[in-house]
Amino acid sequence: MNAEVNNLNVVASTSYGSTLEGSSEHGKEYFIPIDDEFPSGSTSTMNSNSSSHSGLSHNSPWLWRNKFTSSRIGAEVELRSSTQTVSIGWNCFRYNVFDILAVKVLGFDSNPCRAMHDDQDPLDKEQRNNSHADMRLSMLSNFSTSYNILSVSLAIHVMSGIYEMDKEDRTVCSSALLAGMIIGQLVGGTLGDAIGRHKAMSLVMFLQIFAACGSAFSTAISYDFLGLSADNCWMSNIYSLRMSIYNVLSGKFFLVFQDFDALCCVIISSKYYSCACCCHGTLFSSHHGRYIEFS
Amino acid sequence: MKVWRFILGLGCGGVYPLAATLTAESSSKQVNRAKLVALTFSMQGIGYCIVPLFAWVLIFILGEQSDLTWRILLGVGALPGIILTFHRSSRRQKIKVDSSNSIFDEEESHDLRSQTIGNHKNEQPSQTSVLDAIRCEKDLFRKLVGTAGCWFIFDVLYYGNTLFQPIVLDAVFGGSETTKKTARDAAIIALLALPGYFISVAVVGYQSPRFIQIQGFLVMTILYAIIGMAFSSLSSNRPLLLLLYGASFFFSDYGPNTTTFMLPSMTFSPACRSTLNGISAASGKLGALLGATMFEPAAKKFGDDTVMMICSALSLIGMLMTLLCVRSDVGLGSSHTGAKQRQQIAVSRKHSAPSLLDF
Repeated sequence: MNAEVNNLNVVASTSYGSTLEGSSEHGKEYFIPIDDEFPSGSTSTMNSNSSSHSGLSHNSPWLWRNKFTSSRIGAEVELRSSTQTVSIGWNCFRYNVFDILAVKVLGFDSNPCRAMHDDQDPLDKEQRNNSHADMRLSMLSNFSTSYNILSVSLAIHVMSGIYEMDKEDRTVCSSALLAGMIIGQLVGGTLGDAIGRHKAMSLVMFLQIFAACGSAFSTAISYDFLGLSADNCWMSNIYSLRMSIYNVLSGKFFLVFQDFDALCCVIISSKYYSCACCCHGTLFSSHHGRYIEFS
Repeated sequence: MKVWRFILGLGCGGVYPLAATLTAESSSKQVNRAKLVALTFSMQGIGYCIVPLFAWVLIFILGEQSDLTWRILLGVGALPGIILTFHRSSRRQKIKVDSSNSIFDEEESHDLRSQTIGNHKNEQPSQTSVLDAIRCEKDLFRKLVGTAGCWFIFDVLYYGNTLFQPIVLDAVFGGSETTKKTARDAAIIALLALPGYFISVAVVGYQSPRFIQIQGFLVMTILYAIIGMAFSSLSSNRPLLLLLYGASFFFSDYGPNTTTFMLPSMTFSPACRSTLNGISAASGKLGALLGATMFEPAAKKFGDDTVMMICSALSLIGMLMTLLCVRSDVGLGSSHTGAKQRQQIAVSRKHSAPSLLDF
């Protein structure tokens, strides 16, 4: 790299009005070959009044194209020779790890997830841009799908450590997902043909967001009084925080004990509260540390 | 909870065919297409890896019995969707700003818009014609057997074996009672299987999906046969069992798992593509349900080794199905119109010279 350029930190702003000849009215323009692998074949005619330009005269058509696109979107061209970073608007031309992986390991022409503006044809460019967006869309949605599918089994595993769950509850929970998937695949596929892929996709993704939030804020699987049937004075129940806040505020239940660690609390219905008080209830926790029992 | 899960299932299921078709239609090159769909599918592997890792971290931070753990674990599932929504809305604005900024773009974007509208019209006919399109689909039955049947068989195997997973893991690592350990073990298995997805992406350009699927089924047949025949001796030799088991997951991810996702989006014509894709995927999930429910009783009744032999036989059937019903040129053509022409040529050829492979 030229010594003169090393200290330079140039911002050359161009507009579309600047023609391919690189007119000097719009400010100084510098062209630095970023890498040797890019073709530096035919030199294009160019007028520039900068003195430092002489050391870097081999302009490649590739760079021209960069300039072309960058000026089209009205972006600022910023060259930092010390870091060898050339950022053009929102499209950074430095190759990142994923690009290299995509090209070298997976065998793509270019990274399918990033729009590379190396086409002069704006129409083609627009299409490519859309396809990259589609690609990212479908990849991310597929990721979230697999995440959502698998997260249930581990969540149920965690929940069964906290709450009392019989095996039936677990299997129902996971087979509800499978049944939903079968129907969802049939419906989603038909919708994709009927109302358009993008619309159907956004609908389906909205369902996912909705349901994921819903299941995150849902109560535990069974919120009946677990101990009530066994022994009428043994109140052992844990409500989720949301349900208990609601119930306490609405006056249906009394707050008996709150566990700030687990963000849950024990509440009993007002119907049984007097009963519990009659028994001179002493709070103690079971071996789980979660069940507060009255005796 | 169950209701939420069901709705989530609706959402998740819908993504399957849509993601595949979207990806397949995003590229004009057919070879790239197969690759792109495979890449999309590989995100599933990443998702499978992230979940146990994330759960492990959460349990590490919040403790084994925290109520917050499962709430966060489930709630984070909404995050990619939210990101996507923002991403799309910001993109739309950007396009608007771009097109309004420069005068030059205006005509162009108008052209583009008209063209995209034209494309949409071409790709998505009105609602009534979906059924007609399915009716008009050539070789419908054979194609459906090739995609849906293979998916069905594969999912019986795959989901049956994911249920089998704890048995093998227990044999290797000892009992896993805590959630932390379970998450760790699941992460190990997922990481073992992860390279399969990406190798599949890399290989698809050189080989047709059909060939990859046949390979996968073949290797699975052999592996299950080995495990089935020498189950008792293998259970004493833990590392080898883990290796074989991990290899069976690896090859199922490399082979049928990716290709069953890939094939429907490329065999069917665009008008009814995502519907038939959905049907195939649904039959796959039906197989999953069957595998998940039938494996345990079968293992109790016949013993583990017999189940493994059944697996082997099933994957052999899957291989034969692929051989017979999946056209070999799927995923290797140059463009969509090219594929159509080739299909027509193939059909005409078939009429002139009927072979054993025809139905």
